[in-house]
Amino acid sequence: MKKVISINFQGQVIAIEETAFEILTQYVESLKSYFSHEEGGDEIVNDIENRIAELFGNRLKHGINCITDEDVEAIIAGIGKPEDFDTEYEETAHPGTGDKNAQQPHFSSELPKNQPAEEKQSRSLRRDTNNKMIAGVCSGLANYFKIDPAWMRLIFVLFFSVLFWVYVVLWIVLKAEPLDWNGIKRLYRNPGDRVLGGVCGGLAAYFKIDSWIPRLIFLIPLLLNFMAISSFPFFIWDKFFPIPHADWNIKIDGGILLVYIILWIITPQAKTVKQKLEMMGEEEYIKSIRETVSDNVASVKNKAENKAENKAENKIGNKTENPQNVDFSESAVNSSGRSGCVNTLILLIKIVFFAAAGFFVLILAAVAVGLLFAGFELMPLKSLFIDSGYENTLLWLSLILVLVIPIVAIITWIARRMMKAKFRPLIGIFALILWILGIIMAGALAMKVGEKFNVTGFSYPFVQRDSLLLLPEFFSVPIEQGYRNQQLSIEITVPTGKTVEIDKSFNAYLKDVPLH
Amino acid sequence: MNIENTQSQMRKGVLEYCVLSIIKRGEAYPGDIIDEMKNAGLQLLEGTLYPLLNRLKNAGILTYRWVESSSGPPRKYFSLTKKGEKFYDLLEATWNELAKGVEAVTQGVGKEEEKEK
Repeated sequence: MKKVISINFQGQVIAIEETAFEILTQYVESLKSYFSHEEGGDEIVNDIENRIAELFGNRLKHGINCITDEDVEAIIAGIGKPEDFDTEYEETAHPGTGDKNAQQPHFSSELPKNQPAEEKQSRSLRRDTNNKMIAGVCSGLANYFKIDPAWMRLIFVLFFSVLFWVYVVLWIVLKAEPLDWNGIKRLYRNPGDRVLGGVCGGLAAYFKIDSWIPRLIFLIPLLLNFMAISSFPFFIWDKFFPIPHADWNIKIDGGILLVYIILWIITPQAKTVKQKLEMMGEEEYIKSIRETVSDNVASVKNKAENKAENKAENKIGNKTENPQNVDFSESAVNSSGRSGCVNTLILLIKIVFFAAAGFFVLILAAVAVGLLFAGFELMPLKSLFIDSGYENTLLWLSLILVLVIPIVAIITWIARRMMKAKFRPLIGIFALILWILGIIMAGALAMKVGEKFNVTGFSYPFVQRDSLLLLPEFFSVPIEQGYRNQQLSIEITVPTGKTVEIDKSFNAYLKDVPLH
Repeated sequence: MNIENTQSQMRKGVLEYCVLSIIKRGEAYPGDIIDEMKNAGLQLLEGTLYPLLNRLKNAGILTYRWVESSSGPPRKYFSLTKKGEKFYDLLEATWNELAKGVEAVTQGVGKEEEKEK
């Protein structure tokens, strides 16, 4: 049994099995990334999509209810997978045009564009305006030495004091040129797999490991440090495995944070299909888009709708005139056109913001934990406010609910983002209800305690002897009410025309006595 | 030396010529071209044809117009430009030379073998 969805594919309504649709999307993606190298690649993909739509139409006309996996696979076999026409394309493109050029110079419009670009790429040192961060010096050097610009930038950042002038000189001396990347794998920030800046996701893609590994490496020192700072016994085994001293941690911790921030700054985000291709390596990328089947049905549907819309727009564009790879050139303009300076500025702002936010959250958590444990320390005072029995239980319950739930929630949230686990709303709602319950309990308790401040049944034994009124310095309250800074105001009414003499010892109590 | 590689290179060399000659006979859309090539026993993948047509179009050798289709999205019908016709004539001339030459050479091999016998 298979689910059939209906999609708008190149302006046609097509009933297709969901799995078949997945295969189709991945195939189209692989074509897109494959043809992204070529001038007019979008148009080629669009043409092929049109052809697929037509073949679908033919099949549906023959009385088939919906497009199945087999149909899609048969069509893909007919059109060919990127790896099938991989070599064909490369070889026909270059020697083919070369021959043409030898015979008919005016026919080879491609040649003057391609050939010199290749020469430049390999032979002379230029500033690369295509992949620049500031002036494109590092990127140009990297291109020259055929290494990843990220490492070149890292070298420049690490030896900033020495290489700063080298950078400036190269900036002045070298000519700027939009260089094509020579296909070497590069470190990018991965927007498809990110928690903060996508650095860990990018590292994972670069080293072909799971993304939680670099995340853990970055997080462990932070966590250890946090535990050490708060210096409360988190776990029982704390005593057996003492957490290393905070100073030591701060060093590692600052270092690892710095590494993250530097990587964040010096690596670009993989935005276009081409960049993603460079991030993962060509084969990996095509493999990954073919293999990964998203299990989230809703997102698949959304994607399908979006895609259909995009296609419709594309087609209209193609019909009116013949725009040569509009999308592609636009993205190229975007990446090369933005100023490196503005880019770094935005990055700096981002860093400051995230650092502040992170710091704030950390402090908040520390304060919460601190308060919780301070609560234990303040036990003796507690008995003054809270009576033993149900009030005590109420206090503990509400404390645990109000403070522990958010902490657990934050930890699970981080864990979920790291592991990409699914959010389970039921548990979330349950936790929220418990938390609200905790707040209500705390409120009730506060009211209860507040009520206690209305003192009743106190005794204030004053003495009147003739015209002398003796006021005692203290008053007593029932012992069960406890000490709550109770205060007593005394009102003495005196007949008009009489004078009152107040002893000096009362001066301290006579601050704002209304005399009337 | 891989035999498949050599074979596919031989086919590739004549691919443009074949495609252009089909288009020269009359406007054609990629589906027609594929069918005709298949009928003639020449395997051609759409994934190879579309980029080829695109390159020829970008080089000003081909032009196309949109034609509404009853069986699906509109089709691109390709035809030769003036530049394309010249280009084709040159290819044709080269092909004829090549075919003659290849025939002469390969038959020469055959003759030598006969002589040896």
